[in-house]
Amino acid sequence: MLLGGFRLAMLIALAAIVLAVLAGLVVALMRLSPWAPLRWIAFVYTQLFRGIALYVLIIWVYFGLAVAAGVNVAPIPAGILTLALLNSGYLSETFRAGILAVDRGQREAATALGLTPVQSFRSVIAPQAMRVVLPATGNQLVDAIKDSAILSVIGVPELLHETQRLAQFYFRPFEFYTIAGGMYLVAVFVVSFLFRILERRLAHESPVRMPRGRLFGWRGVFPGTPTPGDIEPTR
Amino acid sequence: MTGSGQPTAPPTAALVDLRSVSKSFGHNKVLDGVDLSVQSGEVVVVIGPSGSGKSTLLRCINFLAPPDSGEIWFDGRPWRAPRHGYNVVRSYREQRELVKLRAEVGMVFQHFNIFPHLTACQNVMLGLTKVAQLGRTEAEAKAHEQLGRIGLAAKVHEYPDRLSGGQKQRVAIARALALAPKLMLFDEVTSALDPELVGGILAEMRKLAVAGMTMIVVTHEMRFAFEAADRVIFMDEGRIIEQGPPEQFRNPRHERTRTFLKAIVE
Amino acid sequence: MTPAYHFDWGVVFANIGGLAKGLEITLEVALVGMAVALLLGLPVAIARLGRFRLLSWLANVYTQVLRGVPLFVFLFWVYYGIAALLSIALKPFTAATLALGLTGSAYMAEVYRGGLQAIDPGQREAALAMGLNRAQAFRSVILPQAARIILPPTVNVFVGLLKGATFVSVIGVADMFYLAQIVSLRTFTPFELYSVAGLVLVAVTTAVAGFVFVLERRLSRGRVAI
Repeated sequence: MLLGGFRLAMLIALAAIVLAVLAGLVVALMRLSPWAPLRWIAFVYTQLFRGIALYVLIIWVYFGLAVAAGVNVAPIPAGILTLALLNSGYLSETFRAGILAVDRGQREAATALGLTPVQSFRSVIAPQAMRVVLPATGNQLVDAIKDSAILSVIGVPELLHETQRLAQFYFRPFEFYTIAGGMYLVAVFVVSFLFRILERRLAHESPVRMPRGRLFGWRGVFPGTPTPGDIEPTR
Repeated sequence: MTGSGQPTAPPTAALVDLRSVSKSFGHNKVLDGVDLSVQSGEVVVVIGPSGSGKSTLLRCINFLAPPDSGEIWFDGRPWRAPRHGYNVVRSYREQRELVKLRAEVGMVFQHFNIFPHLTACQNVMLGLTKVAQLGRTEAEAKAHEQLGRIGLAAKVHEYPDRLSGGQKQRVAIARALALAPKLMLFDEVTSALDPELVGGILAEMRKLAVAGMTMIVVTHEMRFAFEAADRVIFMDEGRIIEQGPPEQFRNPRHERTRTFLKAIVE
Repeated sequence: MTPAYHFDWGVVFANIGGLAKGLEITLEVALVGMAVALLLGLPVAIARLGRFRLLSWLANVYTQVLRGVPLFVFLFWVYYGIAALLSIALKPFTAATLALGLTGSAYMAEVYRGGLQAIDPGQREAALAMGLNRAQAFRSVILPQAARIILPPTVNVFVGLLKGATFVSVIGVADMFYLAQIVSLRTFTPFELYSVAGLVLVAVTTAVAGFVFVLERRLSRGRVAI
């Protein structure tokens, strides 16, 4: 039953992030659009969902809005939607930064080659922005996994919800909550690890590892280790 | 362990005495049995290609990079590298001992290393209040005097980001001199400066040499070596290859010295 | 569900005092948690960067675990789990601040570490070379410079804790949502109270987040005298 909850938590987080990536991309492009009202709407969207706490939003959507509007949303779709909205706010900022991080000259060169704006975005800008954006997206997925626990308050039978049920049933709260904590931890580590591998693949080279600075030792005293350089085309 | 540091009779009259000092970083042997004595009042210029161990040599003298083996005598007594990293109490005592040494040895760095969150005056005052234990007013007066002497009277209350490279390096020199050190270490102090600012800093160093300060200067400026040094040392691969009066280096004996000098003159 | 929901904003005004009290408790939880995080995070960061391998490893495990476990789960673990294990009854407020403080300390440890590592090693070298001892070098030279780098991410950690403090009612801390829950059970007016509670918290978090934004701009513009 715990594993069932675990699987549901993972599926919810994954679905939410997929939606958030799509929405985030749209919002990011809106923020970079030449048309000012579009930029403002996107800005407000970003600020709103970055500022709001998930617990506040889910309670409001599920208990408040649903009741007020008379619509009955099932807990799981409501949870996925809320997580997606929240994460799209963060991801749109990440995507914007990633797109802006690509050198201006790249766009100019693509245009000079005769590529259309859509073509140049797809085959020149996006692949390069990917390297900047990927680690942040990974972090966002990790956050979504952790945040999915909050969906237990609206009755989504995910990991924490199941844990609570079992802990009460068996009167073994310490054991069950510890196991649940461990499962989240494993999920978080595995996802971080997978994203690091993906990142390395994209970089076509082992990432530059900074030496661990030693505040009270002597190793940090000698700098001169290379820092990650400019973004290179990944194709 | 420095606790046994009963001042023994110095074997020579030298202010600094290094005996077969060695130091490695990982598998890289940076210093390989270096012997060096510096008399009080002497100005020693150390030259050599990058990676030859010059900077590490300076850092061994004040234990910023403690040597792996060998002896370091300063001012008539031996100083030992910290050995008790994992024993907090003994480690604390060792560090307290080294503080005494460092207070008497001034050091100026290639990249200035002045403290960006403090004004020029506060940079100089820090050592005076914390190390020399002076009161604030006394320290401030002394800092003003020291900065004035090096031509920074107008910049006393400026933060480092408003100062040029040359001015920053002057603050660094004033900061070191304020503690009235017995020995000054200069680590390529003009390498990071714009060419037009190099002369001014070298002039300050010459003044200091004339005033009788004991100095060990790592530099690529052969002009300074010829004008101010009592002795020039050429190092390569962690060893002293050749040393002697500056004139000797107009026509060096060793092939490697000759190649190096030719390379830096070009 | 009734299709026609009858709005009654009067319930908000009737409970305005309770809502204010609830907000105060939320802020208190966040602030006390932040204080714990600030105090506890620094020794963890120092241990992480220090030369004692074992301590460094332990500090690393501490930060990784606490950052990996959801705060929401950790809250239950502290309130129900620890209480059951040690057979003690924690007050909800204590459990909430403890959970927030410990999680916050793991994030703060990373913030401190980033700040401390960003300082040029030459600064420490210069401080030691002039005869400062290690503690003096840390306090007078490294820490003041790191403070500038640390400030914006620190406020971000606070925003995170503030968001975390919104759900402490689940273990029975009497905040705005707790009140909303209780009142709406009585009067069946969940929308109004939840909306007001939600809007107030959004306003508070956006205000603090906006403060970070301004701060980051200010700090990146140039030197700020500390």
